[in-house]
Amino acid sequence: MNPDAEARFCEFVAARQQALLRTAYLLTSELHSAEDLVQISLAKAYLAWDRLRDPQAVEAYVRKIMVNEHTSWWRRAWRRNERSTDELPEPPSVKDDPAAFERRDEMWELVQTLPPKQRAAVVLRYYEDMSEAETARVLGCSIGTVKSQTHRALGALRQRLAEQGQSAKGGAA
Amino acid sequence: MNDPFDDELRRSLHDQADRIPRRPDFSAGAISRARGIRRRRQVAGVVAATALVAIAVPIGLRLGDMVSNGQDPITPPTTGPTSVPTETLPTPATETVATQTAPTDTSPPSPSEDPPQPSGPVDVTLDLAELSEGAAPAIPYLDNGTVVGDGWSVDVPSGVTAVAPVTDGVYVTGEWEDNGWPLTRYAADGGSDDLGVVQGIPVASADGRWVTYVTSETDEFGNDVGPATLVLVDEESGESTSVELPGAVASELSVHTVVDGTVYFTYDRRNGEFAVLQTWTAGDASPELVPGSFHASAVSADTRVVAHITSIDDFGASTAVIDRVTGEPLWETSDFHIYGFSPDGRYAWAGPAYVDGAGPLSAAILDARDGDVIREYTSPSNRIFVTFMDAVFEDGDSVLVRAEQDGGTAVVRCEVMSGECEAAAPLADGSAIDAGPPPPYLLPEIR
Repeated sequence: MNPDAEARFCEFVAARQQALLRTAYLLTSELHSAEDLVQISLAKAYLAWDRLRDPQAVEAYVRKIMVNEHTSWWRRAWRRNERSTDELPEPPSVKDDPAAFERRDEMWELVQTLPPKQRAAVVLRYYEDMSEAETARVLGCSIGTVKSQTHRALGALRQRLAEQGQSAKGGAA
Repeated sequence: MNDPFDDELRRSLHDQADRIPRRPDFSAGAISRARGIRRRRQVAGVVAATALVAIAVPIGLRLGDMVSNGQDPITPPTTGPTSVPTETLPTPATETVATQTAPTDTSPPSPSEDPPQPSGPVDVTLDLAELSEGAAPAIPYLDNGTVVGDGWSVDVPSGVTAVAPVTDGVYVTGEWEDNGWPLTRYAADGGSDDLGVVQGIPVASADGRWVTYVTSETDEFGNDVGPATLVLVDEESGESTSVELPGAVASELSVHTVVDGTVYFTYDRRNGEFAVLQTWTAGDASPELVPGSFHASAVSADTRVVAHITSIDDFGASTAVIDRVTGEPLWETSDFHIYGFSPDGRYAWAGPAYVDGAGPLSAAILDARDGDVIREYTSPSNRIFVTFMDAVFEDGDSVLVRAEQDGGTAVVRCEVMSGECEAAAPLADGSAIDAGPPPPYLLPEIR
């Protein structure tokens, strides 16, 4: 890679690394795994840099690599058994409304149980605010598949949250 | 107005993402890793070209399980390349299948015969816009909403995801609905049968007599909850038989070949384990393990040659190509991933061991006996990028490749012996990589 292209790559990383890391964390639930996922995806993007002529497409391309990588990681049992011991800081919103945060924390726990493709669809649609078409491009599937994956994920989340609410009520009675 | 549940989900994800602290710049680390991959590829290339080292038995193979049935071994003309796996695969679990006592293969050892030598250059650059137009594919394929066969064609709805041609018709799946792909059988002379929803796409045998697909129970959200059921249809008799595969993820079952009523397949289990190569024959009560515990990525249609993944890491995989009957590893590569073999098992269709998010930028035809690169296909320049999506052998000497370039797709016919390529279906708008219309062509699911 020539120095100009390498400089553009470094600029891209500096500008977008944190955003990529956040998405990676939502996919992996572990900071170390998220860092690893971002680094591997960036390394692969570096190797394909000459082919990425449209600067607007670079980030979508890296996200696509991240999602594909994570899906393949998930299929390797030893990756899933890795557990980070890093303590993350509490989110700022917990101080504002602990009860609401607790419910959102329960939701996050449930998001982590979704199959990887459903989880990726949820993260891209509800965190990245991507359209169905953009999500389909990143996931490498049809818009119909994005619709059905998201529908299934939300259905499962709603049902499990409702079940948890009922069992909490039952426990309190 | 936004749904409160959706808002809560958004806030939940943002709560978690906001916890991520700033980290040091990843640029240097990413560049270093990228250079490491590049170095490894270069070293692997040098080793492949020069080493004359006997191949170690791939980890995970149990050669003692192999039983020869009297066939001659496949004899490589030269000692093949070798490489060092970086991370070995976990030992596959095999507790749910019976062990096969002896291979039943009776096919001739065709790969051991000395074939005529290919001519022309090994390195072939392809510009899809510049290819001369040749004959249409000799095997059925999808062309813009029509499945075109030999002397017949059937119109199918938009959104086709797979096409599996049989003797006098074609099995077609549409776009994923709430709980699977809708499967329809279209007869070549008109008429169609709706076969319900399946969770694993149909795959046909090369002779068109057999077709197999996977179904599974789903919950109210369309999630595959199992058990998965492998279905095999004999087109000659019209009989359909099936076997349950407890623990299998239906959509992750790969059919490697279907021959004489026997399906060779692998799959992922719900617990993340990989189920090694198995066979199931119509009418049998359960599948059988193929001796050797193959982590298979491809099996030749004569079932003689198996591509067995020996190790996998973040930047690719190593593969050993095995003579299934003798259990002998023929060669090993860390440069290529084997996608399939020619019908006689003589040639392998391969892509790079590492593939990025968009798809492979090169492809190759290898000699299945020794791993020698017969042809390697790449883009014509660093401004025109050809992505090699999938391929199927049209016959023993030509392969059909679905390739994309600049938002378009073409079906390319590449001859093994001459090295020449032509457009079997011309470059047309639509691709899987870029925004815009979907690819206009699909190659058939034939194994």
